[in-house]
Amino acid sequence: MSAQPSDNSRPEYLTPVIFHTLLALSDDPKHGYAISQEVAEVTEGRITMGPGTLYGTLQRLRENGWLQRTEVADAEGPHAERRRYYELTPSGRAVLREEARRLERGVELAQKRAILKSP
Amino acid sequence: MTRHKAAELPYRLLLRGLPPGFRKEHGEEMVSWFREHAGERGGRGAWAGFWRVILVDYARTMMVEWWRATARLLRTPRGRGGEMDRVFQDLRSAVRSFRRRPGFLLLVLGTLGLGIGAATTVYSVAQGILLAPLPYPDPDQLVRVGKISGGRAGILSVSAMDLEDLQDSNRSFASLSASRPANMTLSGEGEPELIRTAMVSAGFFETIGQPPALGRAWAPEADEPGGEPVVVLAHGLWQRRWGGDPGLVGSTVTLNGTALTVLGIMPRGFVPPEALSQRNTQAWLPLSFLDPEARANRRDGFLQLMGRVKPGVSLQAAREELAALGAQISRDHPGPGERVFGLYPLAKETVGDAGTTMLPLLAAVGLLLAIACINVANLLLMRGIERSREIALRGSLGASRARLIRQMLTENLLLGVGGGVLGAVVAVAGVKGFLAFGPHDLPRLAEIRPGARVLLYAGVISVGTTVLFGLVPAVRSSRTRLTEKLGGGARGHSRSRGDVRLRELLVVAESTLSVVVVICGGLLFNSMLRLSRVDPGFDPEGAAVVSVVLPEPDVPHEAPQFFRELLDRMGQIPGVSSVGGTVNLPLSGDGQMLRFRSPSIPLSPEDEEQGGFPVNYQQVTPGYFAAMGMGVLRGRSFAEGDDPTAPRVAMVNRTLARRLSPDGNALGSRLTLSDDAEGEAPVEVVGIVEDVRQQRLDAAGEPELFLPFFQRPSRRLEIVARGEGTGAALLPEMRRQVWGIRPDLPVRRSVDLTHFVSESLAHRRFLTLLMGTFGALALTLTAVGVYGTLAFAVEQRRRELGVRLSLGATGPSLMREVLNRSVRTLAVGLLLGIGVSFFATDLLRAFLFGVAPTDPLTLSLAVVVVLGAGAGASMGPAARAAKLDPAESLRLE
Repeated sequence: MSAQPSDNSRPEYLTPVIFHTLLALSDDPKHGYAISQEVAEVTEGRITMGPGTLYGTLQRLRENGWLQRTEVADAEGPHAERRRYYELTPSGRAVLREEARRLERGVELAQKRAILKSP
Repeated sequence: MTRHKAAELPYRLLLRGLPPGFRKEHGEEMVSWFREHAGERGGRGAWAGFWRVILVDYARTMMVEWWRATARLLRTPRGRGGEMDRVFQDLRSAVRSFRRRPGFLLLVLGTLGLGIGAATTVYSVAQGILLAPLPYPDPDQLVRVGKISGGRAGILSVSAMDLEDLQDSNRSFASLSASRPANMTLSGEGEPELIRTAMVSAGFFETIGQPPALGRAWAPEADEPGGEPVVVLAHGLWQRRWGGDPGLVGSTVTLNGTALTVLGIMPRGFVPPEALSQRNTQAWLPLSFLDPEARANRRDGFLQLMGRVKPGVSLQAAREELAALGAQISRDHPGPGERVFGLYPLAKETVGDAGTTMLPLLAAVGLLLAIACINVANLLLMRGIERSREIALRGSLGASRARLIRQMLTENLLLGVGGGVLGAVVAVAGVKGFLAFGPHDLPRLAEIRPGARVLLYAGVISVGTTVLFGLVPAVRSSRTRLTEKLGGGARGHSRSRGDVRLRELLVVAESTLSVVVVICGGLLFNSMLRLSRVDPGFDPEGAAVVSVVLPEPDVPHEAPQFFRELLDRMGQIPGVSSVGGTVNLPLSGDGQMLRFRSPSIPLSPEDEEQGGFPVNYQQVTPGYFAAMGMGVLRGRSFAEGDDPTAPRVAMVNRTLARRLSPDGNALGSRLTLSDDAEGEAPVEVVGIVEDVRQQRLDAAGEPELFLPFFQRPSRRLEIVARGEGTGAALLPEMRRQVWGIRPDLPVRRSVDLTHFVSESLAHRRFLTLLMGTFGALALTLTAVGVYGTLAFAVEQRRRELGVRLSLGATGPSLMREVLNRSVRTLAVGLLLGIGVSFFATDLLRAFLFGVAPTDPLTLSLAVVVVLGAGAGASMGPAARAAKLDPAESLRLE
């Protein structure tokens, strides 16, 4: 169950669930519930994660070495003591950046072919 | 807040199903996620939605995490693994222990498989018929609307003009549509085929909430006389006749000789509403096809109405509005009888009284399942005792109590899963068998499928039984003190006496339940025997029936001429001695009613208002009574001369004759028929025939009226021919004669006359067969239970019996003792069972014929059968007790 970063676990592309989970952690560490909230918000409800899906995904990402648990100094709220916070590791950030670039290339291509309007 | 707290508990329980590693790591976080999310939820609907999300997520997580946990374990070298490895260890050891006792394994699995299979089959069917919502959107809003006949149950059709008034002025219904079933001939490519169709108003598809999947429905204008000739076809017909060609939409098909444009195809799996007599309907046509004359007549109700109540309008409010509208219409258009409109939920109208059939079956199968569970419980208890030594030994070698219990629960779980799988297999076959061989007159059969739900029931019942009944012996054996067991062997008298009591109690329960099932089976069988000996009043042997329906436009001009010619031709078939026809054959399920007035029958106020005394009637041709083998008691039968130019005549059956005249001589009575035109002469009774079981084999003494076919023609005739050989031999030639005159006519049915007698018993025969099968299963299971208990008891007492033998007891005396005890136990169960059966057989009342629910003969036979089976099963173990070798028994241990 130890987290071993390994390159062969890096897929060709990320699933939307994983992409958005990583994205949710890109600015600051969050606890699980906040991650699922943000993902639901950002995707306008198109991706909703139940508790099992959420923590299963977090565990997988941790095993890939893309996230780690972290201490957050002043967590607020009634459930703070039970919460674990997650943050991106450098390798997680790299994976996320790579995926964002891939998507960007796709968007550029779509604009060139007039599928999307240029901004 | 309390609600969230309360909801947390089930969620925590659910989490226990996840792999332990995952649970330890994330369980608390998941609960806190749940709590936080639950806090945001509002009303009841939101809660249901929330739980749906949670359960879907849970199912998904279960699969993914268990899969991962297993995969991880398989990668871990053996011996190092934790939890999962122990699970595998338990599984392996369970398989080993089953291998040592294959008989035990077979008994448990067989018992569970049969019990659960039978229960799940009947439950699936009952659930599909009685409980499942109708397969339409918002089915609770759907109602059957119609005339309510005073006092009589059921709902009647409405005239086209009344429908228009209702449609214009109601405020309760989102839509109100009409339907009228009809059989029509589909011709064109391939053989002409009679199909079930329905003329429906344009709103039908909207009301039912199901538009065509391909194409569209018609606009209301098409319903008007002279409207566009269009049709919507069922998916099945489209597939079967046109191979699902999408190009059919827009082209034409020929129904009853008219070319119709195909507007749309209904979706696959659409179930036409049975409450509107649309079972197996394959085509829907606009109301423009209705007979214009009938349509303009406010008196004739021939449209079945279906409504969709507006959301927010209660059924009661809709009912009240209908009543008020009915009163208004009656005031505006006074006619024969008051129009009392009402409604019934469509689901209730669809299901009807199918509960009468399903309830006894459900009850019987419930008892059977209980017997099976008791048997398995018994087997598990015995096995627990048998293994107590092994358990104690393992305990002494350091296995913890929890570990031992877990080991035994793993075994039971395996048994449960195995039983469940077997049960599901039996149930899937059972449901298929029920649909294939079961009574076809039950409603909603088209909707019943063995599905995922079946598997779920089977699994829950099976695992529940084995785990529950496995737990008791598991906990008890694991508590066994080592010294007691290892030292005591089978000598632990005080304990095993309690066990014997418990097991005897289970045998009592089993024999109680099984005698109830056997009594029910016996009563049904008895009724069936009596019914099959009932004289139907006609001779079904040696006669055959061919049924012909002329297409609608032919009436009434061609029908008499056509049928005269056809009867003539049939009479000339070599070997045929008599030919005749009727509109409604006895026991065929067809029937018509009219009302008449006669000075000798006083009318109730209600009948007075409705236009006369109600009576079943049919039109028959001159040779009919001879062809049916029915006796004419007095007067004459109809003759060739009874045609429209001759005075109007009628015949009556014995029961009606007695109503018309106390001495039964009703010849010369004059009857004024309710649908006669003003001033038309009454019909005169010229003959009296013997009573025939016209409607049902188990109902005698219904008044019947016969009118000459050629004075009151119809486009439908059932032609009966009697010959020298069997009826079936005549059929090919009879059909050839029909096609000799009209090659394009479909023959609606062509069967031996005995078919109707046997078909009229089909429903009951099936129930009897099923109940008999359940009875036999119950008996077998009980016998197995008795045998097992006794064999085990003898085995346990081997030492004691051996001692007694060596002290001078004789073999036969020991055998008697064992048998006595067993019979005493059974007798207690039988007495209880007879008591219970007094209540249980009440459920069967509707199916009993000539037998009281407490019929002493059936009761005593059932007792003898169960006692015999039980005693028979005891013989083996008792004989073994007698044959024990004292020396060997003592050397044991």
